[in-house]
Amino acid sequence: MLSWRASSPEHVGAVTTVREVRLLLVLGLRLWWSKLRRSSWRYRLGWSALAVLLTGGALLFAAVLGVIVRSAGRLGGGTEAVQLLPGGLLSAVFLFTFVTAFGNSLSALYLAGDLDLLMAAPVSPRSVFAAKLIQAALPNYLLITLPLVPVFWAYGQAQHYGAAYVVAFLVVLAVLPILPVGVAALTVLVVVRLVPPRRIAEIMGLLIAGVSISLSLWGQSVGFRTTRVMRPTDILQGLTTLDRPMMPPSLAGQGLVAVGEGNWPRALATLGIFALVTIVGAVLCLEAAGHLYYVGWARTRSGAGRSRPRRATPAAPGAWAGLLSHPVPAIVLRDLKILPRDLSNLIQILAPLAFGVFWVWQILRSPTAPRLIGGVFQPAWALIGTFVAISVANLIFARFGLNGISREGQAAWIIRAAPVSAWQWLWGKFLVAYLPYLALGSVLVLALWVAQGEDLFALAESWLALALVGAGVTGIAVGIGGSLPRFDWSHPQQMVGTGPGCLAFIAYSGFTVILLGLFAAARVAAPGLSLLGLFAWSAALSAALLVTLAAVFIPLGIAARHLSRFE
Amino acid sequence: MADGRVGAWAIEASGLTKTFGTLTAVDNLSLRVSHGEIYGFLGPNGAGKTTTIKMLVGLLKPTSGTARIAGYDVQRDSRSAKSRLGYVPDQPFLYDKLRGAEFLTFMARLYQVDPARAQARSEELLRLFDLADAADQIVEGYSHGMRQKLALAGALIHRPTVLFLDEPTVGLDPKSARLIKDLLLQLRDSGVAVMMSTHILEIAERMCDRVGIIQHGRLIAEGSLAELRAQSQQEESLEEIYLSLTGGPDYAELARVLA
Repeated sequence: MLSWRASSPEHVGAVTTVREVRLLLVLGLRLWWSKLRRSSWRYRLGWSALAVLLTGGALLFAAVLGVIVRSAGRLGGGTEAVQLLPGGLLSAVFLFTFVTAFGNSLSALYLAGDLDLLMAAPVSPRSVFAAKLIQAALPNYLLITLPLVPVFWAYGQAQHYGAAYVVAFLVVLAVLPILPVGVAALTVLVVVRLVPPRRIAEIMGLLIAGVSISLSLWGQSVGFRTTRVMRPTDILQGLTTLDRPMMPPSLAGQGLVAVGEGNWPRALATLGIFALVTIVGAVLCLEAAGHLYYVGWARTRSGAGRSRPRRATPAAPGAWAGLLSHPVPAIVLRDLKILPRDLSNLIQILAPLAFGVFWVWQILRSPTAPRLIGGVFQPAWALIGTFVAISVANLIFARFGLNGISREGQAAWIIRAAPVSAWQWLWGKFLVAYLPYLALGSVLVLALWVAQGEDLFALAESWLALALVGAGVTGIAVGIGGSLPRFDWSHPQQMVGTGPGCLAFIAYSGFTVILLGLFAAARVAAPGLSLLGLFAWSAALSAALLVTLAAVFIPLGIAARHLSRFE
Repeated sequence: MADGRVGAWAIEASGLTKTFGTLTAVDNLSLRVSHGEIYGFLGPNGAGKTTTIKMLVGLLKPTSGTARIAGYDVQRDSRSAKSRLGYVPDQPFLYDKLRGAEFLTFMARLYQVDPARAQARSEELLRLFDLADAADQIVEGYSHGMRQKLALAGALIHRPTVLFLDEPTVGLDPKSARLIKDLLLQLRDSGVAVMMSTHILEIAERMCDRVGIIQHGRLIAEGSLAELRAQSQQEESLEEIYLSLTGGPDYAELARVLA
C-alpha cells in the first residue's frame, strides 16, 4: 500500500519577510549564474562586451556631468539654480526609475510566467512581490545611479560641502528607488486590468522608440538651425525645471543642500519627510499590489478587445475572388493585416521612417544642383532625388523582406503543411515588402520630381530606377532571410541573425550602387540621342534589367531550395 | 469522399525511417489506413509518434522510405498530397494577430477553396466549434482550447479526405472533447481517414477502428482491438495490452518516490 508523507509546514510561520526576500533573491541569483555558466561563449562574450560598453559609457557620462557641475559652480550660474540641481537630478532619476520599473515590473509580474509558481510557495505575497521587483529594477537602477555618484561628489566639491554631505547623498541614492518601483508595480496591476500585458509591452516599446527618435531629430534640427554652443548653465537650467518642491526627490535634494550647508534642522525635516514618504509609500504600494494580485483583482485582460457583433465579410467581386483564392495573395493579404497590428513591427520602421522624412524634407528645401556639378553631369543630379527616395523606401521596407519568412514564427507549420510551394511562399513575402515600397517610393519620387522641376522623361526614368532597385533589394532580402530563417523568435529583432543581416546590407549596397551607376550612365548618354547615345542608353538600361532579374531570381532560388529541405 | 488515385490507400507509409544524428526516431515503419477508418497511434513519450505524423504530412523529410496520401507521394507530389490532408499539431501555434474568422479565410485561400463556399463553411465551423462569438477577436486572446478548436476548424475548411490529429483532446473541456469525438466519428462515416495520436487509451479503445503501438520508433503491434486481444491471448482492456507491450509502471520506484 502506498503512503504519502506530507512535508512539515512548521518552518513557514517563523520566516520573516526579510529572510524570505533574501532567500528568493539568492535563488534568483543562482538561477542566473547557472544560466550564465551553461550559456555559449558567444552569449558570455556578448554580455561581457555590453558590460564593458555600459561601464565606459557611464564613466564618460559621469565625467561630462561632473565637469558641467563644477564649471557651473565656479561660474556662479545663478546660486538658486545651482542649489536646485540635486533636486533636479534626483527628480530625473525618480522619473526614469518609474518608467523603467514599470516595464520591468510588467515583465517580472506578467511576462516571466513564474509568479504563480512563486505565490504557491510557502512565502508571503509581499515577499514575492518585493523580491521580484528588486530583481527586475535593481540592474537598471544601478545603471542610472552609479554614474551619478561622481556627479554628486563633484557638486559637493564645487560647493565646498563636507563628509556629511557625501554620506547623505549615498543614503538618499540608496533609498530613492523604493517608491517609484512600488508605484510602478501598483500601476502595472491597474493597467493590466484594461490592456493585455503583451500589448502594454508593445505600446511601451513604441513610445520609447518614438520619444528617442523625436529627441534625436530635434537635436539634428537644432543643429541645422543654430550654431550656438550650449553652456553648462543651460543644462543646469534644464535640470532644475524638473525640481518640484513638494515631491520626495526634491525634498531629498533640499535636504542634501541643507546637510552640505550645515543647516541641520532643515536637513532633518526635509530628509525625514523624504524617508517617511518613500518608505511608507513603498510599503503601502507593495502591500496593496500583493493583496490585489492575491485576491484576483489584478487579473489580466486576456482578450485582445471587447466581443463585437459579427460582421459579414464582404464578398469580393467574381474575378477578384478567384484571384484572391490563391496562396500568394492569401499570404500577402494576411501579412498586410498582421503587420500594422503588431506594434513591434512599427517600432522597427519608426526610426527609418522618421529619418527618411527628415532627409526628404532637407532635399525638398534645397532641390537645385550645386554649382560645382555642371556640364555633362548636370542631368545625373536628378538621380540624387531618386537615390534618396529609393534609400528611404528601402530602409523602411527591406526589413519586411529580410524577416518575411521568419515572421511566420512557430506558426510556420500552417504554410509548410499546406499545398503551397516554396516559390509561392517566397513570392508572397516578396510582394508584402515590395508593394508598400513601390507605393511609398512612387510618392517620394513624384514629390522630388515636382521639387526639382525635371521633365516627364526624367520622371519615368526615376520611377524605373525605383522599381528595379526595389525589386532587386527585396529579392536579395527575401532570399537571404528565407535561406536562413529563424522560426523560434519571440521578438522581431531576433528574427534575423547578425550574419545574414550584414550579408544582406552588403548585398543591397553593392546592388544599389551598380544599378544607380547604370542609370546615371543612361542619363548622361540620353540628352544627345545620337545613334551612339541611344545605343549606350539602351545598353545601360538593359544591363540594369538583367542585373535586377539576377538579384531577384538567384537569392529566391537559393531560398526556395533551402525551404523545401527545411525541417 | 475517397478523392485521390483509384484504389489507393488513404495513408500509406512504407519503410519510413528518420534519424537525427545518431538517434533513430522512426525505424522502418510501415502502415496503411483506408478511407473511412480511424487509426489510433499510441506509444510512450518520445516513441516517435509526432515524428511519424510530421513525415506523413510533409513537415519532415524521411531519411528513407516513402509516405503517400491518397496515392500521392508526399515528397515528390507534395501539393497533390497536401491538398487532400488536414493537420492539427499537438501545440496549435497560430497567427496571434489575426482574428478567428480571418484565420479561417486565410486557410480557405491557402487551400484554394471557392470564396463563396469558404465563407459558408467558415460560418458553419465557427458555429460548430462554439467560436462564433470570438470570431472577431484576435487569436492572441484565445485560450488553449479555443486555439485547438480553431486549428481543427482550419484543418477542416477545405474538406480534407485525410485528417491527422496529434493529441486532439489535450487541453479541451469535456464538452469540446466530446464534440471532437462525435465529429471524428461523423467524418469517418463520410469516408474520411483519420489518424490520431493520443495518450488517452479510453478514447482509442472507444473510437478507433484500428490502433498501432509504436515504441523506440518501431511499430510493435497493430490491429483492431479484437485482433490485439487475440494476439495477447489473455488481456482484456487496451490499457492492459498497451502496458504489457510497452512496459507497465514500476511500482517499487513509485513507492520509493512517494514514501
